[in-house]
Amino acid sequence: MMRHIAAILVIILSVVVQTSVLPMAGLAATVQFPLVVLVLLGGRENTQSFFWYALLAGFLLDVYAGIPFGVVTVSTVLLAHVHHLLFARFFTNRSIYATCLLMASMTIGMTLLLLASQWLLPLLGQPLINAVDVMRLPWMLLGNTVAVFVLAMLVHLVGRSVGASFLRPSTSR
Amino acid sequence: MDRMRRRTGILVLIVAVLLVPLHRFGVLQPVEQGIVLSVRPLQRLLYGILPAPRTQQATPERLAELERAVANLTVENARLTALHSAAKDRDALTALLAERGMRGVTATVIGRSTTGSGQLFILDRGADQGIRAGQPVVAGTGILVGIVERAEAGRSTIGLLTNAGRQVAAEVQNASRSPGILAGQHSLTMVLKFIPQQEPIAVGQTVVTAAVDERIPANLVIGEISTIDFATDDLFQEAAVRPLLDPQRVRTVTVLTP
Repeated sequence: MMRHIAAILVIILSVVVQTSVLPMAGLAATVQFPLVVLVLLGGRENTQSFFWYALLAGFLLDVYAGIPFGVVTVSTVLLAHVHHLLFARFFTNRSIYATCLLMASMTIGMTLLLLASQWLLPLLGQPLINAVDVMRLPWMLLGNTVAVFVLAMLVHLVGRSVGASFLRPSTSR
Repeated sequence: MDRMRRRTGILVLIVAVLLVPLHRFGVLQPVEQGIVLSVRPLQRLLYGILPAPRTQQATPERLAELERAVANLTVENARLTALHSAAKDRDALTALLAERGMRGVTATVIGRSTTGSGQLFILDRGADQGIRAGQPVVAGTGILVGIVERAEAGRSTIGLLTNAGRQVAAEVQNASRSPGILAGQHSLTMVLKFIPQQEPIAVGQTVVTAAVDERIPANLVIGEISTIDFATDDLFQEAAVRPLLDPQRVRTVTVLTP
């Protein structure tokens, strides 16, 4: 139970940071903090909880997003499926390098899903993503990967020194 | 176990898709409002956090202490200056609203969101306070910065005038009140289009709103002309308009309500 509460609070905090702190630091377009947190949670929590966390993160982002409601939620849940597939089939060793690679895949995946939404839903009436966003992809890749690396190291160190059980990876997958 | 995971995955995906119509029909409104209201204090707290001042090098103890004191005083001074400036702006805006018989809802920017067409500001006031989509939003001493895109209970979203696709009827404050259509460009600047060729416009002249849209009052200041694109064989001339206010620095705005 403690794990779930901690994970939910972390997701809420990550969305607040994304909407209220990162824009002030000029990093809103470079780091997608909720996605970073999700990738980390995906490597630590059991898959079923992870799907629900992805739904929560997507929903919260949609509440504050300027784009039509639902696009981010559905995209995030689809990404969670991709995450599960990649973790189960390819990046199976759960190392920090695997997490970084997974983060890069998720970043590309999110951009592709937003592009796909734009093409699939031409009636939305406003562009969800433009050429500038796509050109920012390398910076997003760098920003997200560095963020996931730093956060993973922090969680590892804090988890070890404090002994907080909810920071340790889940034993059931 | 794999079957369970697959079923959960599909179930979550179905729930995600179902959220769209539920939001559209307003069923999720209480949930969204609950989230917004409960997260708002945290957003208010975090949105304004600035990087902490850094010390340049190691110094003797006393010097370090004095440097800290100076830094604290500088921060305090900056805060008070900002408060003083905001109060002056508020007074000027109140006077402007009273002079024109308009009403306004003052709101705090609690977040930002970026879309393909530009930047959106999230405000802590919404439909409860009478804010509706299409209403003009002013900042500073009454400079038009954007239009309300969406208003819901407890929050609203405004699109900046500099956003691509945003258009407002405007005119130049000169002897002939040269009319045009103001359009946002690249989320950075604005262009006043369709100004008749014979209109005498000049760099530095102020651009204000025109009395076309009943929701947007006339003569709200938008910006000033920075460059003019004039070609003798064209029917119209164009002018780049520089915003008088940097939207990135805006913390408090006023939504003009009827």
